[in-house]
Amino acid sequence: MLRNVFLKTLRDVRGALAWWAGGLGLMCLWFVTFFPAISGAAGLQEYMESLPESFLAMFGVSETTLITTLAGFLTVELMSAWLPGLTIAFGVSIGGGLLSREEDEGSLDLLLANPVPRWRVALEKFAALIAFTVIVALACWVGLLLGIAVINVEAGDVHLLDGMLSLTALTLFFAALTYCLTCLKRGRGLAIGVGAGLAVVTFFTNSLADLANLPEWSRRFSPWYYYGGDVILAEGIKWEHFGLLIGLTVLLVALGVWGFSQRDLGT
Amino acid sequence: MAVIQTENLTKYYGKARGVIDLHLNVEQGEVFGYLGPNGAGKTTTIRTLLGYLRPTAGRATVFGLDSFHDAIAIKRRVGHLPGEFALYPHLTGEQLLRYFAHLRGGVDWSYVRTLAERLDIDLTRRIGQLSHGNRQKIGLLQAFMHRPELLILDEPTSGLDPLVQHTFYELVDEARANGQTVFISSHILPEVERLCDRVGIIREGRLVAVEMVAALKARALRRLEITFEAPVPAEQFTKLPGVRDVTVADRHLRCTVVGSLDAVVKAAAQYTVVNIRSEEPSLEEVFLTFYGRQADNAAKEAHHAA
Repeated sequence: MLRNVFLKTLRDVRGALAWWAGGLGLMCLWFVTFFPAISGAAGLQEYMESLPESFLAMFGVSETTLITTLAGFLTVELMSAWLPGLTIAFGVSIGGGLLSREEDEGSLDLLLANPVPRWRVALEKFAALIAFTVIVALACWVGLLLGIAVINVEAGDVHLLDGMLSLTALTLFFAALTYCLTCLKRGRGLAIGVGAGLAVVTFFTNSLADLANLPEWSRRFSPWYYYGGDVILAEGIKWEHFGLLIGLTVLLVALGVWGFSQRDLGT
Repeated sequence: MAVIQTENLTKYYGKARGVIDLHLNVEQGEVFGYLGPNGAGKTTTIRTLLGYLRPTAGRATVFGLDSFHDAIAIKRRVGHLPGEFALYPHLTGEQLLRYFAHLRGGVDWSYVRTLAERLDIDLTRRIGQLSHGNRQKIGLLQAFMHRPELLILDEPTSGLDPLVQHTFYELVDEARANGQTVFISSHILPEVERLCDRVGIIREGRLVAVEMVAALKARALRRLEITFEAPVPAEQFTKLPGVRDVTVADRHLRCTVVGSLDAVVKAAAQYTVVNIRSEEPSLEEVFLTFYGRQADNAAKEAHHAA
């Protein structure tokens, strides 16, 4: 595990990875097992439709989401806000600390005393975060599949894997944004604040745009629009949206790697 | 051949001074001491030489290669001990060194074991459990382990006990004998005297002197206190060469001496001497006495030029 910066970084976060993957995987499994009780509840859909739009929008769903279907249930309970909120939390916190923690503590000086280019250090560290995110998303997917197996329902029309792919892209986007800021300037406090803050603001920009009488195109400035948490399980992935999130992530990482290669370290 | 060369090297952190107009040459095979009080610019110089910092003006080369753009080619040939560094506390010493060895493309592991034995460091223990001195030993080990052509060591003996300091001195002597070049930053004068052929003195970001160690020693100040059996006349001592600040109180004579003690000892020998106490001044005092005026003048000139 200590052959290169990528493996060393994965080794450093292996404890966090075990907790996040195990915890979110179990949470997904747990949530699915509630579905039979919800789908059998009389009048629940009518109740949901009676709720104020603004209240539903707070959770990233609308009155048209069919909570009595598995896709609708998982959208309301997991995909629209909770699950991406949690994955973004680790993406931003780990992404913010990948380089800046070493820079603040002083181990970066010793690491870079070796003949390893800065761009490679920066790239391998983010690659470790990509692996981390993919493993957590896979754990969530396995949790959902196990949950579905436990409750024994037909789930052929639920685009679970698409949902996990889109979740990965959204998480990596905010992680890359935070990482990029720490690459450009020393310190993680501001970067994590900006990453997390933008995740919250753009979530509401997307979900509350209609209610706030903002034009429809304003939603397109939010990464959550391209994530499509309210529709992805029912309708499947839109590859152009997925591609856009990944493309922006690549751009942010490239900008960060370039900035880290050019700037003074430890100042 | 100059292994390290700087020309008008200047580094500012925003408006804060790092180093100014540094002209420095370190020749192959020499042990060069880089002296200065804390905050003088020693670490800034080293971090610029190794490409951690980009010069604001001027340039620095190591092995003729640009310090910033060719940093990787330089680091292949350099062993570096940073002044303030952290190790990974959850790794053992061996895991850390193997990690760095992989990043270097492999090192002779039997030499690592030999160094570990000589520095008396247990590589099986987690770094988080080690004392500051033992972590410093691991820092030294990683700098020496690939037998680099150039060693750049920032405050290398910080936290080391006297026995290990002695081992470190031997390692530097061996490096010199092998033709390796060593650049040591320090503010400990006896250590520099013991190890170095030449020293550069930096004060407030400017290089105020580059001298052979022998010349520096000859110019060093020494405080002297002589106790006589009976009071002595002060004027017997005030006019002696190199003797300053003479005070006589009762049977005690106190003075400072520049260079040789010969004249003052011979003058004292005319009376019955009970005790002689000689005290080397701190390096800071040497700076202030010999270089303070020069550095102040240089700063004033720079101010006027600006």
